[in-house]
Amino acid sequence: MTSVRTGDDRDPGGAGVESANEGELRLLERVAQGDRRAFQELYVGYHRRLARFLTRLTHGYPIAEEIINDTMSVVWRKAANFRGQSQVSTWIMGIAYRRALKSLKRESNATHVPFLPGDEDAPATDPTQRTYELHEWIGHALAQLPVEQRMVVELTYYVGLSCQEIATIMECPVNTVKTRMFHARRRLRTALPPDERVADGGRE
Amino acid sequence: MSTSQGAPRSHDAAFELIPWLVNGRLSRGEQEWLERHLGECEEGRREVDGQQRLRSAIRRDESNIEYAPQASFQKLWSQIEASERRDPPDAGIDRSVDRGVDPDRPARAKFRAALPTHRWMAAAASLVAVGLGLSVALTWRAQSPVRAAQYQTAAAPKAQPDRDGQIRAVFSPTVTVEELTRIVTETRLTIVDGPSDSGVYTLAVQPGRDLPVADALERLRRDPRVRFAEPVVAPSRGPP
Repeated sequence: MTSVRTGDDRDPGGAGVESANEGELRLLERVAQGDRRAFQELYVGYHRRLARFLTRLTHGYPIAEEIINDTMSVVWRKAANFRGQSQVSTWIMGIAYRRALKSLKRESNATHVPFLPGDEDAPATDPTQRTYELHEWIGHALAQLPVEQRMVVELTYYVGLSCQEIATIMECPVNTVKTRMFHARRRLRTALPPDERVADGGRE
Repeated sequence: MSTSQGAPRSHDAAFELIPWLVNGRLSRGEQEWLERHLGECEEGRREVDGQQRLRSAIRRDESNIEYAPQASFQKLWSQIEASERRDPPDAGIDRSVDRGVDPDRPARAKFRAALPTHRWMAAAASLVAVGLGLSVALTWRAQSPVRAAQYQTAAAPKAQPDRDGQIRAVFSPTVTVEELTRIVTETRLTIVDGPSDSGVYTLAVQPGRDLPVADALERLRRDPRVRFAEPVVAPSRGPP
């Protein structure tokens, strides 16, 4: 048996997540009563998370910001209808995800950024340059993925959601989430710089 | 994810779960099963290592980005206020939001619906509580949600004559009531109205003070806690 340090050393799916949800539930109750300050607090708390994953999804912050405000306006007016059948974060991210897909469809902006490794094949030796290079590689590699696969990677590794939560947000079976993640990992494996590539393995 | 205790699970099933081991969101049963598998699977351990590096890289990438959530929030509220000006609540406000309508309606309708009367009343009640001396005006506001639709802006085609010499200001959301009162007092101004639902205060020079409005405006604009300050523009008189 091996022990793996996971996440941010938090209790997996446990007290930390529950506590965060309880705090957000209290905020949401105040939002439902028309408390603007509570809404602002909730907005600011979600802005960074939403901005990051929506910017990835839409390839641009201006569009992401529109979707954030569209999403949060729904939260403002629908807060009273939230019944707690999911985590607050799952509910909000789900709204954002569906809004983003609509926006992508509307804007026909789902085309993938062309990835041209060119002369960057040689790994950088300077740590600063290396960080920048990896940043670029990650951005390009994620942009190459189909939207659904990119979202699963973002929601897993950036937002830190469970497989079940992602399935709820994307309105698909858990096994579909696993399959999307599996294919995303395979694509990322070949897209990353040679010394950042992860192990090969698993099913074909 | 289901964890069927006792049922044999494959190497492939273990590989599928690795990302959620890495992000710490497996159930206890799944984590224990996977860790047992990894104890005997070198390939799986390499994959865990690789996925941990991928996760770190994705999260490190995020640290290079700076956002301005407060500015975005103000933009949202400006949209709400603008929508209300265009479509006054008494001119057929869409209140269907409270009956649970389709959230995918056009944004304009949503913004209209986002300001039902009870929100105004809640806002009014909280302002009375902070003791800004506006209780009479705010009670009137609570009973008259239409009023915000008549709120003046620099772009409004007409302004009320008694607004001459007044200033419209928005303070940082982090400013406390005490700070706000001090800023206003030190600038020798007084609050004559507000805040509106988007946080706009209307200020005027204190009675008996011989202070040019431009000076007060300049002081406000120099204060980093003041997000926005502008004079209320007098109405155009038009041709004689």
